[in-house]
Amino acid sequence: MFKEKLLEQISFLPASVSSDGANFFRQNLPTKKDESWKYTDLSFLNTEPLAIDLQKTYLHFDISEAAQEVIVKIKLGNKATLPTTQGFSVMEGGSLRQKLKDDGVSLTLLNKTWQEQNYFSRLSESTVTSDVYILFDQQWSTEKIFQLQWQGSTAALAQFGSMRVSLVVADGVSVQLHETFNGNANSFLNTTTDLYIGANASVHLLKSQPQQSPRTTITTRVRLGQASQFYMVSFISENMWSRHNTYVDLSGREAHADLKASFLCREKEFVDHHTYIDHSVGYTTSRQDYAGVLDGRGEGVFNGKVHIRRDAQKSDAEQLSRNLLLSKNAVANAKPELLIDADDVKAKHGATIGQLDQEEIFYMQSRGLTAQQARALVIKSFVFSAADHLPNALAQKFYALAAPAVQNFTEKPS
Amino acid sequence: MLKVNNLHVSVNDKPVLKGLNLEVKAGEVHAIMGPNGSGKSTLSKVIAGHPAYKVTEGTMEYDINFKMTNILEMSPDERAREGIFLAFQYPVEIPGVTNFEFLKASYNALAKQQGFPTMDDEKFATFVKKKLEIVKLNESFLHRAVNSGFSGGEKKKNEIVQMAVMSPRLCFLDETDSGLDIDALKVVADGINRLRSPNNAFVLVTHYQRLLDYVKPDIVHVLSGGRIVKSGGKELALELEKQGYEAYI
Ligand SMILES: Nc1ncnc2c1ncn2[C@@H]1O[C@H](COP(=O)(O)OP(=O)(O)OP(=O)(O)O)[C@@H](O)[C@H]1O
Ligand SMILES: [Mg+2]
Repeated sequence: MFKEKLLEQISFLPASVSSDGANFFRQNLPTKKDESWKYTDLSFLNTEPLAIDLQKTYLHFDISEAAQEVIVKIKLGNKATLPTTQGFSVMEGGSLRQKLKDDGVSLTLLNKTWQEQNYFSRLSESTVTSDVYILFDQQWSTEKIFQLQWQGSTAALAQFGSMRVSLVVADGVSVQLHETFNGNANSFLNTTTDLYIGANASVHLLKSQPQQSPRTTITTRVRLGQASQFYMVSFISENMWSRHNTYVDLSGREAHADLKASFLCREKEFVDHHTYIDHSVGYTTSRQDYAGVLDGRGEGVFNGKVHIRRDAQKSDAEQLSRNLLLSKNAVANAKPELLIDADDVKAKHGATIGQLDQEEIFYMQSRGLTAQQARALVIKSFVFSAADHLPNALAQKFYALAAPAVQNFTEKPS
Repeated sequence: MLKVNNLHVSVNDKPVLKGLNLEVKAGEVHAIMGPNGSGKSTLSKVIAGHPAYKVTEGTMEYDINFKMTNILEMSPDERAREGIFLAFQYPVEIPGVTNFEFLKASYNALAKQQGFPTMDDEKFATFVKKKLEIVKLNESFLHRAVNSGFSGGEKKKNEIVQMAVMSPRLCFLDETDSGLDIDALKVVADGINRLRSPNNAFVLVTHYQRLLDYVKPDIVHVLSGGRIVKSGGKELALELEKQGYEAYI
């Protein structure tokens, strides 16, 4: 029922689209008539001069190491040898499968196809020549942060770029990831990150967009093995337009997923989160907490679906959308949904939309804080709560991004 | 230190204070008693500068740099930074903001204004723990959201902690004793006595004589129908306890 209708209508990409890729792309764009794009205005992709090239290309990796960090830049480029360092290796799908087979590792997680797709994730699959996987093995240091920096177009002419990569975390391995989305503000970056988290493994993922970065459609698909854990925090501020599709497949017993986001939105900025959590086996748990601060004509969307399937007894899901509206022209659209086919489960959802409380502000003022400092303090704690479950190094990264963003946001109200 | 003359105040266009006079000098402790709805909290709020309470007539002066200054045009935070403190009858919950962060922001806002050095987390932690001890609040309260889920008594104690952190000159305590158990009342009274000095003044709004057994007032006022209708020594409080307000309504 949650399947995207659109995908059934188009048999995805024709063998050769290079000549009129732009037309193909535009003709097939989702419209507001599609349920999951109802609040998402894609019309600028039709009207703006945007160089759209859907020719198949290679991914180019550029790796550097710092003290406690590995930085991997990914962009579209020429075929090059794929790098391998201690703790992780970058390889094509075929080699990865062979290696896992040789190591006697089960391929169950990898072999299941993704039920969850959208127009843009299909595009990112189709335009990259080969499947590229990054495998984290037992040598990977838990302390290190793996930075995945997507490099969109830096060319003067605005471009549409589309990429996909898969990350495989071996059983029992813990990985801290920081994913960023870079490029020209007038460009468009479309990425898909597929994550396969092995049994008893854990991933903490911080996603952030630098200010003035491209408009983005970001798809994150996560499949969790038995007793594995996934924690994600998205932070967005001062970005014109972004759409985030997050799909979580809780396919191993006792797997746990925790999704949090905080975003600051003003002027005509638009931030859209769509999530789909699939509890397919029992004893799986999920938590979602999406917190938005909206000022000016900012617009935030949260559309969260939780599906607890018949065999997922004893599962437990919570989802919450929280919005702070600072202006009467700001808009928050929240639609949490539960679809429950099992009877012995716990599920809870909620949405709050509120303004800054004037009595709270007065109380803080009576303690010496200016009205603006009081506002800033409330907004800061609202935004910072997203980092609650991050390990220290990633949390520090989050604070370093969020602190100046909140300050900027509260000092220059739109 | 504070001089209120012929004060008229309306809330939502409803007149509440109707020509109130009050003068408080440094070193004094005043008690204000009076029936429910007579305007005690309104007086407290208007002195703290709450925007919903409109002064329609009268003056309010406060000693700033040894000069009696009209404070009606000052914002609530300006007044606070000049040493005016209100302990709320109903302290406000601020979900998401930790007590520690709030108290530190408050301290540093005052320090900046008054030319003291501000404190970082570490310094402030040492400083604020001593303030919690005054009212026997556990350190864990620092890491909880301001007043969120605090019991009635804990909220009142937290007001005293804020007062101790800010060391104000004029302290308005609006029914800080209500909701405290007998031991807590002693603790809070003891805290007030420790903070008393010749340079500051207290106005205690209360319904009960008991607080005044511990914190001896110099002057007791009866507020009724939006005005101070009688002032006297501490024996007035005892008399009120026996006779009620009937004679003043
Ligand atoms: N924000 C408000 N909106 C409407 N009416 C108000 C407001 N604040 C106060 N009032 C009214 O003003 C009058 C005085 O209220 P106030 O809270 O000052 O009384 P009080 O003396 O503190 O009473 P209590 O002893 O019950 O605390 C009451 O009739 C009250 O209903
Ligand atoms: Mg009152």
